[in-house]
Amino acid sequence: MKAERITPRSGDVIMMVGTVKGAFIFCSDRNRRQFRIAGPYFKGQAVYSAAYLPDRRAPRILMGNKSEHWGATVSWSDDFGASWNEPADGNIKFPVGSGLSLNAVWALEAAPLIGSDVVFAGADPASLYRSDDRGETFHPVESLLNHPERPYWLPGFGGLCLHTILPHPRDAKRIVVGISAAGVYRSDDGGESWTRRNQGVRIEAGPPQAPNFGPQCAHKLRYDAKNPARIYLQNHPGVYRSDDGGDSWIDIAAGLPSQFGFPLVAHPSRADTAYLIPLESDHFRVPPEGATKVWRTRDAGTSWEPLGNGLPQRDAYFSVLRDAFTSDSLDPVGLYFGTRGGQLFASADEGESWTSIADWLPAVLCVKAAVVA
Amino acid sequence: MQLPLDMGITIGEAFVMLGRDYPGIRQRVLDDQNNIRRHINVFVDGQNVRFAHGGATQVTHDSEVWIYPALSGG
Repeated sequence: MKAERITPRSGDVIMMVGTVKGAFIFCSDRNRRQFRIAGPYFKGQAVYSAAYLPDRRAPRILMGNKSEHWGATVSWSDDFGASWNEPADGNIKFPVGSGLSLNAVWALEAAPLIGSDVVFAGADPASLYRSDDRGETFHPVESLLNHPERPYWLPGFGGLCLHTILPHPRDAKRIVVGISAAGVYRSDDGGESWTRRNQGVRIEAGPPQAPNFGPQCAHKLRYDAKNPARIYLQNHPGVYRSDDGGDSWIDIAAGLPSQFGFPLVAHPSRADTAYLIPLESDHFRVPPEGATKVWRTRDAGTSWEPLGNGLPQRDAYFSVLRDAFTSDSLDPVGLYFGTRGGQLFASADEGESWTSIADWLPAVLCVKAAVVA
Repeated sequence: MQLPLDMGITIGEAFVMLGRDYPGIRQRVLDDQNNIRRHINVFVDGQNVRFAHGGATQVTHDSEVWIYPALSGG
């Protein structure tokens, strides 16, 4: 498939934006004041996930695209979107006889500590897939696919999805995943086995005596920049932090206008710093009082501060989905989020000020940013 | 296009055969379990196989097969 392209230079920032009707790639120099747009790619298809594989010789963009008619797959481009490769017979497939069929690819995550060509994919129905060839072919992680607790997992409104994959940055054997609705699971043996890690996370969608894995709905989780034993979690209801790799969780929602939200971004280099975009409630998923604010903690959730300079502060009734908020890795860090109303906002100063860089996109499903090697 | 068949086979098997000469078609019409995708309608000799035997619907050498993506909204 041929499409418009960008030609980024080393040090430029690219932003991959997946929407319900295709994907776009934005590009800027490191000042991040002006972005060029290329696309749409995968016209008419929903693009749930994207990843950039930073190989200086052959950087690659992966996208998890889905046609409502023809199914879902992982496609890749080695020329910044000028052309895309799509496997003829699919590359994420459930074993015949499993009774499961791929709905969408929700997450794509490189795992360079495990291997330079290793990429994980998270799918709906909830499952983890591994690629050893930079996203061209995948095989299921059978231990999670056949997990004995799977019958207790419950699909949410978005399906039963494995949406977050956190390969540990220092321990190649440890991987944390987030599943809606099952919660947090962790492997300490390279994916051979998985243990539920929801201790301390309240259950608000089931009776308190229920096992704590059925109704758990982790929305997004991220490692702290300096201490990977510290994990931040935006749950369906509630905001939490773990200081022991997920073994236990403490409530850090005090000071926020709402406990409900989808995305969570951890600062890529500053300890104890994370960002949320709270929504009013489970039943009214818009910015509280119609005023858009990103909330930041710089003390690991002990306190929170609102950041709204440049964001719409009245009559803003959109939502931001769990993968539609991200950061780059520059200093000062750039932050980016897209809305279900098709707006795209960017900050080049750690969230202190924001500008709109697109207003009329289809509903945004995912935003990922990277600095070109 | 014409698909040479020596004997009656199922429409699901026919798509697998077709995929050998036309890479991609099997994946687009059949899901992981080789069932016809939810939003694809396949007609064999004028009948929607969804209301016959699905992917197990028989086709013969002179069957006529049509593939239609379902109408969609949004």
